[in-house]
Amino acid sequence: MSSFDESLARRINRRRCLGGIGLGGIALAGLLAEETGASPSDSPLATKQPHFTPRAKNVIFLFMVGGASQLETFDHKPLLKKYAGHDAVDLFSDEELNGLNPEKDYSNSKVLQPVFSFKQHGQCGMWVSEIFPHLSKVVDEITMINSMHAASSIHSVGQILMHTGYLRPGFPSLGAWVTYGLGSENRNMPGFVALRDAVSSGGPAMYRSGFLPGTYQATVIDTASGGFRLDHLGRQKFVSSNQQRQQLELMEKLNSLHREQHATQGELAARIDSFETAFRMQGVAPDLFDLSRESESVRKLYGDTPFGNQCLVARRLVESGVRFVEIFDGSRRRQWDAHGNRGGLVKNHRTNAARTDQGIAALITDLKSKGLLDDTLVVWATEFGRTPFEEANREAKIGRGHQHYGFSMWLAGGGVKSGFTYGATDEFGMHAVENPVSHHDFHATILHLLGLNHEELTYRHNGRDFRLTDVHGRVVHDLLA
Amino acid sequence: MIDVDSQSCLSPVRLMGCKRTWQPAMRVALPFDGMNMLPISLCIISFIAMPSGMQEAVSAESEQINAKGIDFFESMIRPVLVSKCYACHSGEAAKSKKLKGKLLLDSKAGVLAGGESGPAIVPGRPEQSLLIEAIRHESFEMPPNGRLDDNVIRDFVKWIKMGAPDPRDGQQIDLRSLDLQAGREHWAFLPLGNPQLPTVHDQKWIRNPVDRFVLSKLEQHKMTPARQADRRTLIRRAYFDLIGLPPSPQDVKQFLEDPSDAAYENLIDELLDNEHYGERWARHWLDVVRFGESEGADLTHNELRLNAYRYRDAVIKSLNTDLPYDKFVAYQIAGPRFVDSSPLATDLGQFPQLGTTLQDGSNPNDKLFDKLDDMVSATGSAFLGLTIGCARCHDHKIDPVTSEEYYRLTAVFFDQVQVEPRAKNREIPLKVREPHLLAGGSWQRPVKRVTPGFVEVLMRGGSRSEDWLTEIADAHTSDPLHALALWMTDVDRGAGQLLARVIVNRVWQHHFGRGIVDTPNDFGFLGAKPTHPQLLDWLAGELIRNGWQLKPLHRLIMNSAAYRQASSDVWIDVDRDNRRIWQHQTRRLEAEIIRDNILSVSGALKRQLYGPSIVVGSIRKGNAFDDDPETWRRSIYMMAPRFDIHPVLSVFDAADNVQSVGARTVSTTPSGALFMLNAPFLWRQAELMAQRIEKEAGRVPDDQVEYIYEVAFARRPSEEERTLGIEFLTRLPAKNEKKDKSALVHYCHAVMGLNEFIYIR
Repeated sequence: MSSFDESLARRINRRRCLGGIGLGGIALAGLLAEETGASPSDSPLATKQPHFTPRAKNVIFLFMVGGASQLETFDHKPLLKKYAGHDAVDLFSDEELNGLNPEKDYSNSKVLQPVFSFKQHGQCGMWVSEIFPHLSKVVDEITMINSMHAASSIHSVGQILMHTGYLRPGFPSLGAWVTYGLGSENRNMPGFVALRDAVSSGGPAMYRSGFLPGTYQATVIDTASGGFRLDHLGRQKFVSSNQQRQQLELMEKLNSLHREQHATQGELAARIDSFETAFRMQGVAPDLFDLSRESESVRKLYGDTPFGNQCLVARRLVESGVRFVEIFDGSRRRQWDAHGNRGGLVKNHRTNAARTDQGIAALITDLKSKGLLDDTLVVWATEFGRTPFEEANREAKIGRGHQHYGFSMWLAGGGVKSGFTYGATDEFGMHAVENPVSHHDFHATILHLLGLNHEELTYRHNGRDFRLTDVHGRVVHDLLA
Repeated sequence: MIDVDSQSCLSPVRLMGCKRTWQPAMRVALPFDGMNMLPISLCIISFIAMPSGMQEAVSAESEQINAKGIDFFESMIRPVLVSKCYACHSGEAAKSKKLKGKLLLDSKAGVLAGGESGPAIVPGRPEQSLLIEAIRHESFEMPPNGRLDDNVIRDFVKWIKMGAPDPRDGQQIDLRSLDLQAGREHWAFLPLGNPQLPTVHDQKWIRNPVDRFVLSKLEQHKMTPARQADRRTLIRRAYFDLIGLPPSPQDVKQFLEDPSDAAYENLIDELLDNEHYGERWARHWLDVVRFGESEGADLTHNELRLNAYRYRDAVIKSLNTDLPYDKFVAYQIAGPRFVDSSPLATDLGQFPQLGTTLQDGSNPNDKLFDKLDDMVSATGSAFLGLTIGCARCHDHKIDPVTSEEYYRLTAVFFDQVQVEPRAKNREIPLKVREPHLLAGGSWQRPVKRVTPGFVEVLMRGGSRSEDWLTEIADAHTSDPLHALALWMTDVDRGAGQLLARVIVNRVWQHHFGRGIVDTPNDFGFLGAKPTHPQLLDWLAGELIRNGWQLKPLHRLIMNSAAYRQASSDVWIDVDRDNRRIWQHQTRRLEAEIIRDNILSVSGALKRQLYGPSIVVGSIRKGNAFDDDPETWRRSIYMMAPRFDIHPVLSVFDAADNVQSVGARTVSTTPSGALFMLNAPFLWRQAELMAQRIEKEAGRVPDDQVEYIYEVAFARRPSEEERTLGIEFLTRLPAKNEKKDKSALVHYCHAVMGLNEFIYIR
């Protein structure tokens, strides 16, 4: 029996039971309410119409915590070799350097050539560095943006900015806005799910709902153990399934009696529903996280690593109707933060790429083969890029500092062009100079793909209509298929 | 080109990162008074004074050229301005409220000063002149109904090249005074009326004057109030409203058996004297003042503020002793500066400093202005219901608050902010060491020095900020904070009347679930209008007449027939949101009170008042929180670090401790339900509750059910409820007999999950 059938059966049972003790009236009222669909359309997570025909229905947002280097991944800058060893202060103005993290001192920084080799891949000939052998095979599905720019070179601020459009906590994250705008397609699961192994410096602001109702915040899945843990999903050891069912039935009956006296208050019904959802989640969620239900070949495709499994779970979640899934890669210790004193750029990016490459490529391949890629927008993002120069020469190994003037992110599926490279940085890979795309533009474009106008998706708070894009942002139509 | 990518236009909340760096020019469209495509970067320039030297260049021109130029203007330019531009850009347009973009083209001064987007022309430099851009349809598209002829555009270019000779030396109309005039007519900024008590038909419903206002509104709409709630409902409601804890079965019994006609009024008096009253209402206030107990830059720069609890305690004490609200406010602004300062004043004086601080690594200039903005914004929101922060980058688009007033307010707080002129590893000099008006909110563009000052639209009788600033200068050295406190609480000439309106509305809101003004933090043009404006004014007047004491206000509200109504749905189709107050709205308890309620019915609550906050866990530890019985105190004593909200609070919409919150959201999530179903905390409290029930009611299921209803809901169970309860208690199947919790534990656990447990009617 599917979970839906089960729930329906249970509701009918409940009615019979109430009827049995002489409360036929309530049962009837309940039945009518259900059949007219009042409760679901009242629910804040009810499916909502987008502003216009959407290109994508769901999003899988892959966030590389720490700031992935564009120069070691997707932004091919062979000319940088020419400047290798030059002092950063000779090549860049004070203004440029001061605009980066103000606590850093670049007086001894030297330009560093890209440490990995690049090749063109796919029919489109997209440049990808050697550390992504798997992703290289699916570049024909990708729209690469080599001209991202943001507004802060501080990790926490950049992370919050890339998720909320604002430089400080307290604002809804992209996933919350999307869920607010479109609702959820699965009543048994929350609309927004975030998988993370730790809380990174940007903190919960990256997946919380800010001033939007808490309904829209992410349900957090802790992946620290390598598996998938949702707070309070499991029953206490001393409670049997049967006991919990009995308890829930009692609560439903008592809540219904109470609701009789407040028949018109939607909140009460919503809360009764939330217990049902929670109960169903206890059944459904473990199944979604149970990868033994996938074939051997699919599991192999994803690599059966913790990150690969997260990608596979993301697909399963989206498939089940979860609107927005975010995977934070490397929250613990900010793994993409490739300074010389953090393991060095070479080892750092090689390790990070090895951890994520296969899973991400598999996700695209798998979504495509299941016909889900058309409806699902896959996003690869990071808080900022890295400097063409070393941070300082005191460090044991080579590394790069933070810069938000020009870096790379990509999109795939969900209505974006395939095998397309957009924008460019200057010859140093430092500034987005051709077709620059700001984080606001990026957000506006994602909303657009989902059928939402970023200027119309607003929420009134403290006397003002707020938007994800504040007063900025433009849809980058060039990226759309 | 100036880039403002990192800034937030129009935002009433705090901004940061105004440092600017090289960045690709980015043009962003935004809707703007009917003009298309305003480049956001231009939005700022209006604050930048004309580049010096240009006026000299203009004046250097010879008389003769001038005369020729004037001819050119008169024949080629003026007719176009009159026929194509004046309709939206002239003094006449301003008077008929048709002015667009605050741009006046009917005087030389107006053209040079420009509008919201900056000067319309730069004499001698057509390529830098916004007017040319606009008529070429490059940025704005002006006139909007069709591009001018190319020859005409060439004339304008030529005219500006000539230095833009312009004989129209008429006075530019003072837009500010128009704004102020309109602003003063806004309901919230008008003086308090002296409303007559309305007459009503149903005289016998009336218990006190509040009811006249409520009933007259209902009668106007041919509606009738709900019946009076029964005593059991009233006692539970009053307990939660005033002290945030449930009445014990003994409390209920005593109240039910009280034969006195004044039993209810006496109950309210008792509760107002109860010291838990301060705890309950302090929490409301802490939301409003963005109280948090950590620095709050981000999770890695979130050092605890171990003295912040003193502020919290001072708020509780102030409420319990009914410190007059005007003093309460004055102490928070000016702290111990007050002549009659009490020990409370020092602790309440933490208010300006309660907000968040930017990261250690941030530019100290950003830190300085971010902090100032926090102080000004919080002051505006908390006390006056004004979004003053909007005026950081430009004159407030909606409310009559100018950028200059905003920066004069930052000047008031300027000495409060001590910023080290260094980031972690580098000296970074403070660029602005004295209060300045900043263009576009950026410290890189100081425009002019400003002196402390307050919001003009709230001043009466021709008063000026200097009146308050000098008033105290006699007795002390001039202290702008002290002057701000005097202005804020000055009923006759300053902001006192608005101050009263705002707090009266907050008190009403927490008794009825909705304010008379539905936007408690915004009484400006964009805020909601009062549903009962006369009632609001009358209550504000009463507050002032009663010496600003809040307890009489509670008494007045709670003793009214309006407050004593039962919940009902009779008029639900007419007025779903209960704006006309025809019933008592059933509503959810706040997160803190839900936890307090759980601890209270389980019998575990430790009622000790005051003291340093208790630390119960951290998100850094994967949300694991410490459930030590020592922590089972009221939630207001739980440490409130920023970004690290206690799990039991976060599932029920607690405030985020970062920005002022006037009204919390109420959301229902599966996570909240999972928490109620499976959290160890709930099961532990259920066990304690079961022990309490057995101890106080014995082992007979019938008695247990009866008693649990008294404890949890202050009422007796209905027959159905009793039957369901007894059935559950006697028939719950066992799991594993050794480890099983008793059916009573399961039952108590279920009761704490019921809607009635957290929704109060």
